[in-house]
Amino acid sequence: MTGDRASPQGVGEAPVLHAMGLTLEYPGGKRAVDGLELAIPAGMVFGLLGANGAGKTTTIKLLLGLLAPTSGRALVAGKDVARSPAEARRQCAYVPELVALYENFSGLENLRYFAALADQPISQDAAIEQLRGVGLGPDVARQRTRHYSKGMRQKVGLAIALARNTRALLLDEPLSGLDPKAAHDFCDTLSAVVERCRMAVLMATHDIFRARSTCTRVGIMRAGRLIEEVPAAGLAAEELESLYLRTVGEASA
Amino acid sequence: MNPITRHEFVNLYRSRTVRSVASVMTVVVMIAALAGLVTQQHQVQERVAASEYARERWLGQGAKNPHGAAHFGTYVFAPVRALSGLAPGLDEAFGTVVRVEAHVRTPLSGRPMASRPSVGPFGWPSAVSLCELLLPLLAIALGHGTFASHDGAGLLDSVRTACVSRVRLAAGKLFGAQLAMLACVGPMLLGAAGLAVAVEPSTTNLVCILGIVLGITAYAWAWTAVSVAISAATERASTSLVLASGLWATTCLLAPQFAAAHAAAEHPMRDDMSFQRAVRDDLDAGMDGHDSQDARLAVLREQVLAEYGVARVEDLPINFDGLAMQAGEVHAAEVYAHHFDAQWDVLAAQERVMDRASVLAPGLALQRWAGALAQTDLAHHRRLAESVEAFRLEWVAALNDALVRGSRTGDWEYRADVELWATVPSFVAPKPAEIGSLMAQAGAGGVVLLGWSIVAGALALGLGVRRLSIRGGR
Repeated sequence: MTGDRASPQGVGEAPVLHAMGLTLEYPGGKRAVDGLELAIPAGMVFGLLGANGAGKTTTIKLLLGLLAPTSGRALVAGKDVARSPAEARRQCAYVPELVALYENFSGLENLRYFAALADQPISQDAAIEQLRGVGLGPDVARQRTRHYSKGMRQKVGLAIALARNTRALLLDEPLSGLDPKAAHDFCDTLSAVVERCRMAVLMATHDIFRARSTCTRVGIMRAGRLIEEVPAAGLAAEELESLYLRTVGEASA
Repeated sequence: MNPITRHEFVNLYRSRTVRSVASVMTVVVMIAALAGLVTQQHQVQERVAASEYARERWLGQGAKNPHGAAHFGTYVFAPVRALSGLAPGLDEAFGTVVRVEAHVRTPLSGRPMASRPSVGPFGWPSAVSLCELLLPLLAIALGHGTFASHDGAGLLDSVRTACVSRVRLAAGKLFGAQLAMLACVGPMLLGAAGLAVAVEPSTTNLVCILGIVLGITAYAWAWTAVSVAISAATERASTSLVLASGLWATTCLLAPQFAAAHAAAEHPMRDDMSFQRAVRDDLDAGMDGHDSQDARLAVLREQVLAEYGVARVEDLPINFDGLAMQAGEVHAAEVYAHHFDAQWDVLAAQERVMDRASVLAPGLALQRWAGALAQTDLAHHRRLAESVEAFRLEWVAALNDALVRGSRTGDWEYRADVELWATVPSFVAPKPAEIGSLMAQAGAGGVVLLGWSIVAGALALGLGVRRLSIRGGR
């Protein structure tokens, strides 16, 4: 049931996020990512599933240029991440599993700082609107982030990512630790944003059900390789779970 | 201002830990500064009163043989420098008073009780010594997490993905920490400096206290940069904290002790007994004004008799005993100068060892810098001791001259009028050194502080850029 990676949704469009034989081998020979092929065009949300240590986070870090591959290429909006890291990163926003924020600043201040860092300065009013857009009211936005719940931090992280107006968005287990309502809200916001901005999104997650409902396509990684890739639409949750368990189970066997 | 610098500065300044450490330090240093200045003012009054009493005692000694008056002696009190309240340097090691007497050169003695070990294990800490000890701790509180804890929290990855140049980011973090340090200590330092200048306003004092503040700022900069560099080189904030604290303990607590012990071992001072014996041996080898059988005195006697064209000293129109005393005094002065210079040279050699050690322990460089500018260092005390000796020789010469001219040889019953005592010169303390010469004396410490600042800054920047680099696989 290997997916047809050559014809994802958005066929005909050049992929915004593109991995070609991407490999990262650590000293000692262990391959965290092994010959990964991936093409995500604008408007697609690609869900990356896999057990812990499958290589999801490493894949994201390679696409961001936070790690250098030992072979293969990663392209963001046509820019080679290894050769033109600054230009590639300019087109790529990132929301980590634990959104890192300056604890002594408010969500609003964090948003404005990170936007300024990325040469996308944003006014106070626009920042408040941006945060409201991801479900964070002005009162909360003005509180220092040391008081924030994980869900609130994820919202600020998403707002920061969106404020950069990039063509690609990388999400590393953004739903981890969120309660069902917060996870639902986050996915709703993400879907709305993707529809509005036509971003290419890669979301690593363990949440099979949210992946099915939010993503356009879903891939399953094992030992650094993309083993399965299927369209999420029309796939029953039970089918995806079964596929996931079978793929991961093969790894454990 | 660079937005990264501003952001890092505000982030640190809002930190409760940093504000707590800075507040405690400000209170402690300001108390030490106030106490130091109050003590300094008290010492000024005390020494003025003691000098007046010594003068009254001298003038009120009654009619007396001038040589008897030379043995009656007087006292010279070391002047209290305006900035000694903040940077007492070696003041308490060298004492405060010199007894001035014929035939004998005595060192400064009379350390104030406050510095005695019985008062407390650390004596009375000065504002500068507290800065030397505590500023590195504030720097560690500010800098230890700059890279290490931000990396642990994922903040470095977040800023890495924001397309900021690594140099700009590392520099922003370094300068942000430095700015926070300046905000924490600036008001405290300026407050202490203002108090010191208000006590004795003068251009020299103003320039010197600003120089001291500048030295402390360079010291704080160096330690902040060291702390940031360690943070950039370590994976975790806890490791960074432990390493930086260990470096503080080594360079601020252990190194100065080892350096002092090494300096004393490499250039040992003569103990008092052997010093006195060597002086006595050399004195005995020369002319003694009191020994009428001395062969060298006989030569002088013949010269004087020939000069006046008489056969016996009793026929001289002057008192030959006074000439003999003065000749003995000249010889004794040469002996004392030789031995005291040797002791001062040993101390200077020890100071050079400490200067070399300051390359590893910048607190020693700060002591050197502040001591020179506050005029409480070795050079100042040597200059003072030499000026007191010059005064003693002038003072004894005046009394011997009064004996020579006022009486005849063998007339030990001669009593000079009390008016004579007022004509004998009084001690005038050497004027405070010029700013240029103070800067030259402070130079060794200044160069080390500057070197530490530059090297630590470059290290922090280099390691910071490396920390922000992309990590690769095989």
